[in-house]
Amino acid sequence: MASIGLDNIVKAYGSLEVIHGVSVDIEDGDFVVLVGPSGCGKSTLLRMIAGLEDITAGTLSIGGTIVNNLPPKKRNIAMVFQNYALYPHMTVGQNMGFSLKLGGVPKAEIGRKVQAAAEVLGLSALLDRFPGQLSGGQRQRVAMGRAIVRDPQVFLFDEPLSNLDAKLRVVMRAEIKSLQASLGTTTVYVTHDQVEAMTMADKIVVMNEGRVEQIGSPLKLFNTPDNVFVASFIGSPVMNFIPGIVTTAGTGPTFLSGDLRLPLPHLPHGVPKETDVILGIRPQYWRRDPTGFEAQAEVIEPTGSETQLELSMQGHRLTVVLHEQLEVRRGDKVPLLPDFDKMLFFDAASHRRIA
Amino acid sequence: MNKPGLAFSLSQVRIVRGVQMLVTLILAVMTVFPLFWMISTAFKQPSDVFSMNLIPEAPTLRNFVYVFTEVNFLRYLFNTLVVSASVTLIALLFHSMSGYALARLRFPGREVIFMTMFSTFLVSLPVIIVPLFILVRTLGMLNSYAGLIIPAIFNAFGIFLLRQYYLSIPRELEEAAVIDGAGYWRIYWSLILPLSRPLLSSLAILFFLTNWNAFLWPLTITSDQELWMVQVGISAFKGQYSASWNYIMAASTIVAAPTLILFLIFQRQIMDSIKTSGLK
Repeated sequence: MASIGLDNIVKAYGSLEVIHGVSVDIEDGDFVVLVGPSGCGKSTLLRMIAGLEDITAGTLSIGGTIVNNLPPKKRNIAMVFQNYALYPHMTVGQNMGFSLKLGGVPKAEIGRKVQAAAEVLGLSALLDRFPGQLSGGQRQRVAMGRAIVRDPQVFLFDEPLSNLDAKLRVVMRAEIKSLQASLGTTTVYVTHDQVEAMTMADKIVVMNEGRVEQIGSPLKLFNTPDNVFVASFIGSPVMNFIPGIVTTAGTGPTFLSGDLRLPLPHLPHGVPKETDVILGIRPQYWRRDPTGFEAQAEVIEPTGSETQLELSMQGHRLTVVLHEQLEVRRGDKVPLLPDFDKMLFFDAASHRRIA
Repeated sequence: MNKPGLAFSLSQVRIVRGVQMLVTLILAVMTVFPLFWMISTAFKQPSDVFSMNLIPEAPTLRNFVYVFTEVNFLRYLFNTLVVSASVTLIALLFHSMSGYALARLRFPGREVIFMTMFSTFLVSLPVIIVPLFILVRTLGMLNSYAGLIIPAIFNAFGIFLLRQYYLSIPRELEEAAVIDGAGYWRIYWSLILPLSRPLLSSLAILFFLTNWNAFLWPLTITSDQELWMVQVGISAFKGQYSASWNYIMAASTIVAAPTLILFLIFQRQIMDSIKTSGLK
């Protein structure tokens, strides 16, 4: 177990810089998820921690030791790859014990450690099988077994669940989380799936175009995103954004956007009047209310306990999730009221949150 | 629901299939008949050689005994086995190493080296046989196993095929091995070589057969009969015994037997190698 320090890490391929000075502190035993859209640099960053990519500039330390120039095998890390990267010609047991064999560990001890890891992961009966004879979930477990058998300082996961079906993904998500919690090994986990990030992480690092947009706990990112990017990336369905201005002219504080007038209970703290802002409100923070604003239903997606609606409100497209079963047809009017306390305001120019 | 109508009627399909089978059968007979004829003649008495019977009236092994006692055919077979097996083993080792280097290692001039190797596909042996002969003579390898083996190892075909195959191996496998603590050599030995076993076995068969049947190069550099390979031996034998078809066919049967046995044992791999390499 060890802390990881990334200090102003830069990665460039020739003149093309893809990671622009990333700094993150990962504490001992943390489960940190790097999340962001494709091409944001999260996998590159993970591969730099693993030692599979050179670091152009900056300092990377693991357990207080600078490891910039150390080869992967000397970093005492283990990595689980997206496609598991199991050696197809080796049995499950040989796959799991390969690193120990290379490390010169005696055969008997390898057998003992592999057996112990296999028991933890429920793989004991599969040790003599080849990867080609396993299901996706079993392969995933073997890949994890290969990682834990070495008892590394750090686990690195590179989108390990993306090849699994939705149901198995949920199961494996819980398994990885509980395994990490029981082993207490510092873990860096890369995903583009914000649900995975929210459900698994102690700390999320949101990345975009080679930069860190925000670091924080899942709920902190959900409730108080620093900017429009984080607000839109974290949370599902995506937050509604309505550009407009806040004015106090007339009846009181009001948010204006074209024909849409949303009276506000009070002037949000820090929001300048008569200035372009972006109002952000999550789909979950609306409720049906006879006194609300009328919106026309365009797409209705019942999911059982909830109903997700795509609506049009005064020319603005809205996504709303109502925690009820709703008998609504396309074209029906639905009166909706937002939760004013949950409204976020972003500066229209910088996209940074102001309230 | 109505089924969509077939484009061809059942009888039409049967006719086409019948014609296809007939053509295949004719081609198969044309291919196999000379082989049967060879084997049949090898067992015939000299007086029966030109009889039209495919099955000899009085089968005899005398032709084989004659070939083995009068001509040094065992020696030719031994030489051919040594050369074919050596070339196959050494070539596979070096080809797989260079294929891996060209596919995965980063070094200056990699593409130039690959393209240069690749371009040698355009040149056949007769084109370079004179300079190759001068080179081998200068190196003092005329009339030696080295002269038979070493030039045959340098062949872009295996390198090219293996490189293409290695490019298709997921890079993550090697990266997983790197993280597990493997270096280049260990990755090559413990991961790449075992993974390329199917292709290597196909190539092994191809290389072995090619060298077993080699004629022009062994003929060019060996004048010492002790170093002759079977194809050279049989060619000389034909010249010497041009009227004795029973002996020539017995010798030919002896030469063809190992390749036939190889074919029977490794049919599947040979078919795979032909499919993989796009030959024929």
